[in-house]
Amino acid sequence: VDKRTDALDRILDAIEKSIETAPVDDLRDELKAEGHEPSSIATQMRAVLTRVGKRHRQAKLDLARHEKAAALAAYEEHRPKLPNTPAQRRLLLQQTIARNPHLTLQFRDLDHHSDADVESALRDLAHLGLLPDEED
Amino acid sequence: VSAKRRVPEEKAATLEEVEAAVAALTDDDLVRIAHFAKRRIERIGRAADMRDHEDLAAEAYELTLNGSRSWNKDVSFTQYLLGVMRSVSSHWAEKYRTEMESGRDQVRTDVDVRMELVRGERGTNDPRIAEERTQKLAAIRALFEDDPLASNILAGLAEGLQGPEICSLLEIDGTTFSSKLRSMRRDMIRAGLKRPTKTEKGPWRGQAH
Repeated sequence: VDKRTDALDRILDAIEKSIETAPVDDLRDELKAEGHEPSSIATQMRAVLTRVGKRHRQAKLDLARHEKAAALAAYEEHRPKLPNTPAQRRLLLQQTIARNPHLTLQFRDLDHHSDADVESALRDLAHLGLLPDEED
Repeated sequence: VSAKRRVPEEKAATLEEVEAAVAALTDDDLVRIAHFAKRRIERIGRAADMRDHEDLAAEAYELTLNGSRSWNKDVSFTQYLLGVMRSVSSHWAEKYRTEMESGRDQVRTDVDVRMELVRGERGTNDPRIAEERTQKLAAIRALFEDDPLASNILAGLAEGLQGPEICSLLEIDGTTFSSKLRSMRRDMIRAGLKRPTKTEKGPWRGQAH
């Protein structure tokens, strides 16, 4: 490595380091000497950071929306094929429960389940992979 | 740039704390951040590749928000951001150097080639760059040749001595050293001796082809 290059970097490092602790009035003077208006520089810098913050929040929001949409799409795509009549669906649910003794009591109390509840439970069980295959 | 610094969990700021710290930055803080960012951009020269001090601050903050960098609350947010900007700009410079050394021969379009020619870019082994740096160092030394204290401080820094060692050798106190360094910085800025290279921005910002 060129010794002169090292020397230049060392000098610039020290000069740069001095900015960290310099009185801010000095920094303002130096910016003015370069033709900048310090208050404008500060305003612009604040705007930059605010814009980055907003963009980050928006990106997180967009990602959450995207993930929700993707999850809904996946749910719809894997919509299980259920029996046509409420009675057949209730029967299927009973059979599924009988095959899966580990299911909670919530699923077992079928007398209090509406047809819609039964259908919803079947869909949930289908997504869990607990419904019997059609050929079963 | 994406390498995450290890900060003890209890000292790492949450996203909310980071956002609160940014909201609480004063104009003085922002002036310091902008000043520092400008110096870094000037220092890395061509490697900035049309990015300015605002781009540098934006990237440093973005890396914090996305979790690539973590603010240790033991230091002020301003000091932290300066450190990230130093690191980010060093990364840009290193990436540029690597690309130049590899000759960008892997995926290089005609446009890339033309732009390199327009900007006069070559590898860091390019004697032009070495020459520019030599001239820069000579110009800094020349600026202070009539100032014995500044010249001695420069000599010490160039040799890799730390502030306390230089103070000891020159028999000055820390306040005198810091004050002199600040006045040297001011003189260098006024003399336009900030840039290690002459043409950084390319044709988009007024550089003649």
